Amino acid sequence: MNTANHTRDEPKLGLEQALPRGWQPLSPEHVRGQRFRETALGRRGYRPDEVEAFLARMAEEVQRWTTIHARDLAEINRLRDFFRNQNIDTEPARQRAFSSEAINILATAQQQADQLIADAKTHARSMQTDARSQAERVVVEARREAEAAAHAYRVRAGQQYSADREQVERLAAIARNILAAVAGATSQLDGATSQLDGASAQIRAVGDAFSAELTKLVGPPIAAPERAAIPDHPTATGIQPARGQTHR
Amino acid sequence: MTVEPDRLQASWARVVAHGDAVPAYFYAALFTRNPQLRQLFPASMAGQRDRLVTALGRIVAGVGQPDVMLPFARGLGRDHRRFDVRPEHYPPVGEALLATLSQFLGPDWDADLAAGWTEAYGLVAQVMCDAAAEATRNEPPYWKALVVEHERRGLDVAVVRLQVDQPVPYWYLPGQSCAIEVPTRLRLWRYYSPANIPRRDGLVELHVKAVPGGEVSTAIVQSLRVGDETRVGAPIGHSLTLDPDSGRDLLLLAGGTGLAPLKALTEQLAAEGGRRRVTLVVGGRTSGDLYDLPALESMAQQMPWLTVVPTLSHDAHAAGVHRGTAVDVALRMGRWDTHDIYVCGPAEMVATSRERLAEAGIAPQQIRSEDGTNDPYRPDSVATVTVADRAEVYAR
Repeated sequence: MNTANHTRDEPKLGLEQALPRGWQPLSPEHVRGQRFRETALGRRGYRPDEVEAFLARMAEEVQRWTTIHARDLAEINRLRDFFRNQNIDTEPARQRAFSSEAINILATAQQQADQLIADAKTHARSMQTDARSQAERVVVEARREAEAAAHAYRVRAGQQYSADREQVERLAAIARNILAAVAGATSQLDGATSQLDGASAQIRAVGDAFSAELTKLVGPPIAAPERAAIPDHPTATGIQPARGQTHR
Repeated sequence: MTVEPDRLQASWARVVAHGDAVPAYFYAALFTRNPQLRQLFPASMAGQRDRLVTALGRIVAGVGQPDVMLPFARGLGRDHRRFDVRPEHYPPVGEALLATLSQFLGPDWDADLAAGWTEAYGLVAQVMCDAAAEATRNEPPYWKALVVEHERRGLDVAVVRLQVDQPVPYWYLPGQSCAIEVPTRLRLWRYYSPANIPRRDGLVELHVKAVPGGEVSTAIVQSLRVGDETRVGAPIGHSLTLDPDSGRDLLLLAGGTGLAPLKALTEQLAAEGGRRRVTLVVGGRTSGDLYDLPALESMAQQMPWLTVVPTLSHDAHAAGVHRGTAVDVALRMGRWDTHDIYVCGPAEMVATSRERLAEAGIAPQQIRSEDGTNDPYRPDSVATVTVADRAEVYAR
């Protein structure tokens, strides 16, 4: 048998046979023929006779294992042919089936989990979008009513007018709206428990919106610098800061 | 190459024709054989599937064109470090990939194809591993960052300040983005742009808007707390960074939290001496969207070259604010033919702004914005910024 060229006899075992490119089997002849350059005079090195003796032993070992390997491969091929001729499936069919069943179950479970998460996200998205647009609507309405209350006060007050009092009228209108909005959201709590999150999201949104609104009315803790005048800005329709502006 | 690239590509085309079932099978095969790898992925694998197929598709298309495929694979390798991917994870992935191919190719799967795919995968895996190892010599896979401040601003915005733990300094160019992972949403990374220039003390300011239904953004806005430990990936992207060769004046159009990178650019221009005039138009729908106006106005007071213009499109009652979208207000204000224009905000706002600017006769190459994709994974943008580039950004 040509042991140096035994790869030709190997059965196709699959991908684990892949070998590095340019790989050459180390034959007993290689080992036996290997020579090392001698060290320069006066340097320390191994004794050549010992190296050679060791190489010879290694060559024998390689020879022995190569022979055994080739014999085993031939045996594997013979058995494989035998089973194939007898129509016996040598692949672990039951194990393969089990593993593909496991894979399918896992894939299905993951897809269901993904669907649940996607549904939850959709639900959260619509809840948050609703809460935000409702908060915007409530605030717009509250502002409108606050301005209406202020206007009514100005008409009513005549000579008794005070800007502070006008501001109080605005705040009272805003407060009435807060109460109405909170009452509206709370009434949802009487519904199914699944409404709970929606209601609390709405209360939070409305609360945040109103705290921003009240900050604007009462003024922030630290005054923001005045903004530059804007030439093309339509005449102010918004609520102006009222601090320090009393007209008696 | 044992198999012609054409044959690999043809086999891949036949496999992807099976659609979503392919990545589903791949991950199920991977986790059935290697349950310990499941923890590297988020609970929902929905986003993961497209990414796998897209990345594999690009690699397969690039087989036989090393100059296209290798840079892509290197970027993937560098970036996968933050997902805790290690060299020993590559063989099981290769095994699952081959099992998937053989499953969907059925009788067409033969020894030649197997050898070809094995060789191609081995090459890509090697390139990714090498790139990861090389990158790790220069910078960690991610930086740990402590939440030191968390401030709710109105309905759905939070301004978050992170203290980046930096045995290795966390440098980035203003306008770049950083992937962030928060402890309550592990394995989900999202990109945010710092709102400040890099600082020696490692403090990074982020502006985060809770996107309705957004898993990560709502968690950051509503449940992130001071003291939480986050992870921050290497900075990416060049779309919004300053052109080092330009001395032109700037128009910055911000929509919502798109303000953050533009604020960082403004800080960079200040650090460079404030020699260019900057008009920063900050747009929103209603007054709650102008969440950072006091800070911007105080910047404008200190920086005479900076003009801050707040605008609202859906708020008829707000005082002291322009009416309209940021781009419309900017176009009303004057001409911008000689300016560098930066646009950042929601994808729709960026698209509309580009259109309106084009209608006004502004050349597209004057305008810079991030690409429209909102994909939380962007391997293409992975850093090629050198340490020298980053050193040019002055730190305070």
